[in-house]
Amino acid sequence: MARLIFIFISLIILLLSACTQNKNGSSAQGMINPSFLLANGKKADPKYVLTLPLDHQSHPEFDIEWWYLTANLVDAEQNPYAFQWTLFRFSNPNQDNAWHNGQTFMAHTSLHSPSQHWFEERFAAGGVGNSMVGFIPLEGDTSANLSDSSYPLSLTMDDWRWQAHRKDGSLFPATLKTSVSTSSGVNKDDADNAVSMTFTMRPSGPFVLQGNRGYSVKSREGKHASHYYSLPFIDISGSVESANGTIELSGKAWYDHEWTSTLLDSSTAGWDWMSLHFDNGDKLMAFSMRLNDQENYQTGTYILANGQSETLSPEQISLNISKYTQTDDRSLPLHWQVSIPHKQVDIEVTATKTDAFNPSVFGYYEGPVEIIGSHRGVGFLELTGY
Amino acid sequence: MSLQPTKVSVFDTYRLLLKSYRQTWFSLAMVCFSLLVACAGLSAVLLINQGAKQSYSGQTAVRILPAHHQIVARDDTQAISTKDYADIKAQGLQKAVAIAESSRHLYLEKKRITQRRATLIGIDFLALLNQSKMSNSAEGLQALNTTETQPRIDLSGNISFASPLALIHPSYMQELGLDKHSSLTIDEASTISVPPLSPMSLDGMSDGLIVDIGILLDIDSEAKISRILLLEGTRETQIESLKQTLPTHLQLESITAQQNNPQMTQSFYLNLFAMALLMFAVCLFIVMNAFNLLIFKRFAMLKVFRQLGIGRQQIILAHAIEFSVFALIISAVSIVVGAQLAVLASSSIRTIVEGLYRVQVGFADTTWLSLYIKVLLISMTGIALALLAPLKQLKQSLSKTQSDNNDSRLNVVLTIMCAVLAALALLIFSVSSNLSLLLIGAAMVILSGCCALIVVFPQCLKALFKLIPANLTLTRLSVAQALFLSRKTKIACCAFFIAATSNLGMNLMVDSFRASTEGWLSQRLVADHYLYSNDAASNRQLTTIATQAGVQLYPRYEQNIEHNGRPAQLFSYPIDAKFKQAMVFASNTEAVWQDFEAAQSVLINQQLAIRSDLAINDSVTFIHPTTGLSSSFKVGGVIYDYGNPYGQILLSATEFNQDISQSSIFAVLGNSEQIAKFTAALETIGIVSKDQLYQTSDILSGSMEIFDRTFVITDSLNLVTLMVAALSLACTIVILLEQSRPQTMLLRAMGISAWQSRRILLQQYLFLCTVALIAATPFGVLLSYVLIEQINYHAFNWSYPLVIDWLNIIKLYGLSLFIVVLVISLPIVYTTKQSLAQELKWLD
Repeated sequence: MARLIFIFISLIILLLSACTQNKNGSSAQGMINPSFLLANGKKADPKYVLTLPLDHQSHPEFDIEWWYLTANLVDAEQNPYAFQWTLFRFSNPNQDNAWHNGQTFMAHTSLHSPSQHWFEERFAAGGVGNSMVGFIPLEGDTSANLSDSSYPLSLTMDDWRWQAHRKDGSLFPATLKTSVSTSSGVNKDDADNAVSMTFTMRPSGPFVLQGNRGYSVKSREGKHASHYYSLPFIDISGSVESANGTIELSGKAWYDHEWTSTLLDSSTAGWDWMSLHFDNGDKLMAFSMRLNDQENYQTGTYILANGQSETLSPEQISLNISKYTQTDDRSLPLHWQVSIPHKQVDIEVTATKTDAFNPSVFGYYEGPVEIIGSHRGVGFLELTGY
Repeated sequence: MSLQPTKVSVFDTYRLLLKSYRQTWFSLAMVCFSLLVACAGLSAVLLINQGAKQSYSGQTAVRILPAHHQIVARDDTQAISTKDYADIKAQGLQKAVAIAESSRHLYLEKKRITQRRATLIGIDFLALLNQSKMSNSAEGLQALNTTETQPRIDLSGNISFASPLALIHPSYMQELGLDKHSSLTIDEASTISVPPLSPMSLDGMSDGLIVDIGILLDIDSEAKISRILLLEGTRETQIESLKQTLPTHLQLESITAQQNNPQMTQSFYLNLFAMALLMFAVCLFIVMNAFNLLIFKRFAMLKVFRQLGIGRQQIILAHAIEFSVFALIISAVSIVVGAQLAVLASSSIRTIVEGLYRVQVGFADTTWLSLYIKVLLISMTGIALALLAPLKQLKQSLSKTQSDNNDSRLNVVLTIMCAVLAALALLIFSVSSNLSLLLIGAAMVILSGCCALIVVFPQCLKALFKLIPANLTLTRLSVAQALFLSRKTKIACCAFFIAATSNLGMNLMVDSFRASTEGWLSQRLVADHYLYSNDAASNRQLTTIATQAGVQLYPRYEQNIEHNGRPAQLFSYPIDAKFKQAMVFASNTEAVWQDFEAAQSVLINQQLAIRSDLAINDSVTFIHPTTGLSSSFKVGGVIYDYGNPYGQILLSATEFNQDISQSSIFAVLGNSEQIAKFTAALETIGIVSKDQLYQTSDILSGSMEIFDRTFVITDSLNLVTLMVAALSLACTIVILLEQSRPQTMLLRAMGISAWQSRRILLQQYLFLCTVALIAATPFGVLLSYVLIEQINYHAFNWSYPLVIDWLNIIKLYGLSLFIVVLVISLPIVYTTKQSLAQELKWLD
């Protein structure tokens, strides 16, 4: 949900920047076809029965889709780390040729150590073959035959690969290999800044269908919606390699998969979203959509440790900003008061890092949080439109 | 009471120097003028080159995207596939960007608007959006720092993956008469559309369109992935790993500076820059001489300074400050003057470069501060070098009255220097093909000539003295005086020698080029007329009307191909006897035409032969124009093809699909009656014969006119250099005339008139210059040989025979001496205008 809005807002921003930044002073209107922002693809259907593992795969008939992983990790000395990996897919009917195949992929890797933030963004056309959601053999398997769906499911962007272990179409357990390659100058091997990561992800609980059996409503009027499910129970462990050595990490991860063609209207100002792991094993997904001239739309899902979930109506949850923090050139709400009275939840959610803004083509904040109050725990906060 | 020296600061000394300006205005004006000429010339050249760097021609993607390595196919048999690209990306080379290229005519409303095919460049725009960043929270950074070198394309502002666009240079857009609403197609039937145009000024952008690679591969079946660029930021470890895993049909290669810039522009840039540096160097000789003059004029004052207790160091420092101030002010003025010169020259340079190389030149936005700093630094360094000798002399002069002259020791040093420089130049020419090094080699040839000149000057004059009959007293006196002067005019004569050598060298090169081009064109242009038409509909009717008029029509079938990753032209060539005779071979097999007719061999131009290391009987592989398959042909002949930046392969017309509508040039043979009939018929099919049908003689004269215009700049720069050298001589003369006044007056007292005295003076300097000119001649010839056989060969991959026309050399002697007479007459007349009575005061 949150990603959907940030994509939309960011596209607007990109459109505006395109109109203002053109070097030669001429207007660049038309660079982003406004029709792209409209729902050209298939609409989310409340009657759709979300089926796993089949729905782990791509839904190219929808305009936008993402596979999103966030993880709160610690090293051997209990120093906090945070990790995000996302694969986005955009339907692009204007590029319906062999190279693009009407699809564009974008992937993000973001890693936070206590003192540093690494971020890398990659793009690929859907028809080339370097990025895909498909069945490919395990590394080292020489009997490669890409058309054979009996291979494990994989989410791929260049050498970044989320590789499921089983050949039954499921995404978990899986191994995720990714990296951030920062280099400077001409052909300088700036290995000091580069990091590569390998994580193993094992599910420790069930998938959760968000909204109404996976049909997630996006606004009070219900005009906009997506298909949305999560796996908030993931045990993640792995290592981060850099020039300074290898760090072993472990912790909890949260996986989201969402697809839709229904974008919000131009009154949308942004989105504040959080996924929280409570120490008692319960989970919470909550968001507040900011709308111009309208009341914010707030909702969420409370998930018990046993996997049972309850969709929270706007009346059942309140998300309030406690404090704005001035970061580089923007003021961000990094302190929140969240209460769900009927669940006896009254917590303060505070971002632990101020430099968690991902400088993507569509920039957004995505960083770790800590929770105090009625419940304690960790999680992730996403802020868009700032 | 004791007399204590007055404590005077450096700035007080400087102020005193300022107060002496009224007395030394001439030498100061000379210093300022020469500095201004040097710096303005340099600024203009830097500005022109900045513009020339923006010229666009081939290799556009390499120009736009900052890359040092690229992956290309080993040969044309197996091109880079999409899977190859995906596999390379799968190795984590996120900085790998696929490029596809093709060339097509552009059509607007079913009418072709391009005279020659536009380059269509497909770039994987999405790969350009890749970025990686890192921030350090501990250092308090709030935002991530970009640690990557970004492509020159403004991604956020100009590329969208949501909506296809065709980026086009505004100048090209203007040239084609387009606006951003124009709907272009690449076929006459208007079925294959180009995405909406988006004007964008990019350094090095091609005279074509840049589109997303997906679009290009989709709309143009001829387009294929031509290269995968590895953008700056690709790590060495990645490149090393790639070398191990690259499929056998692909190869990784470094993008050399030459490839990175359009070849012609690079050469043009180097040529112009070398000329500017030459002019700058000669100007510094004037600065040196003018400074000598200044010191001479100030010498009495400086002695007084010393008597007042002002230290030598302080005087030297004050002079250094004085010249730094000159450099600061004059550099600023010079960039303004230089900018004006660049603007004045811009249109002619555009014409020249476009005419010669078929590329366009635009002028870049000027970064004035950086230009100022550049010019200031160069001028400060130059001044420091120019003043080194005079300042040393001044320092010695202020400590003692006489300086030692040790000519024999100097001669030994100079002889060694001459030999070392010549040996180094020889070494460079035999081992290097690097243009900058070759230019340094050319400079070494000139410098070794300078050393030789200083050594042989007195010997030459002595020999001349012996040759002059004893009854020519005044002439003998002049030579004797010239011999004496030669010891004191070494620097000025060297400046003149450099100017004369470069002038001779450049002129001989241009003359040779002209003669070769004219001969080659006369032989190659065998048809009576040439028709230029790129309108497919009209072209289809040409065969019919040619038959009706009784003329023979030879269309040139053409295709742009790529050979070894570089653009090349594939043309048809007629096999009629007349055309065979017209071909000018650099080398050929015995059965060249027999094999060519049987389509067993091809002819390649010298450029392709040198670039691809091909010789006759070697095999050349390219995509066959009809089958589309990779085919190999024997090289039957290597032909001269002056001025063509591209490699060229000539193939028998039978190997083309002979679609006359796609041809753009037709050779027409027929008698005047037939041509008249044909001309009238052309009008009926919409071809304007007066604009499109050319008589061979007109083409020849037009080509030579363009040729001559091309070298106007070279001629002008040569002329300026000569004038500057003459001015340098004039400065020296002023000093020497002051010094030799007693001798002159003695002659005057002996009854020699003022005019005779002037004649003697003029003769003395003319003798000096004549000897310098004669000494410069072998070095000029050598320089032209270096320019043709080394620099031209390596820069353009073709050469031509050196033609030494003595008449032209004598004309150059005349022109050079005329300029010298013109410039040095002024100080001679000025200093000898006093009456005898006034002059005789010197004898007191």
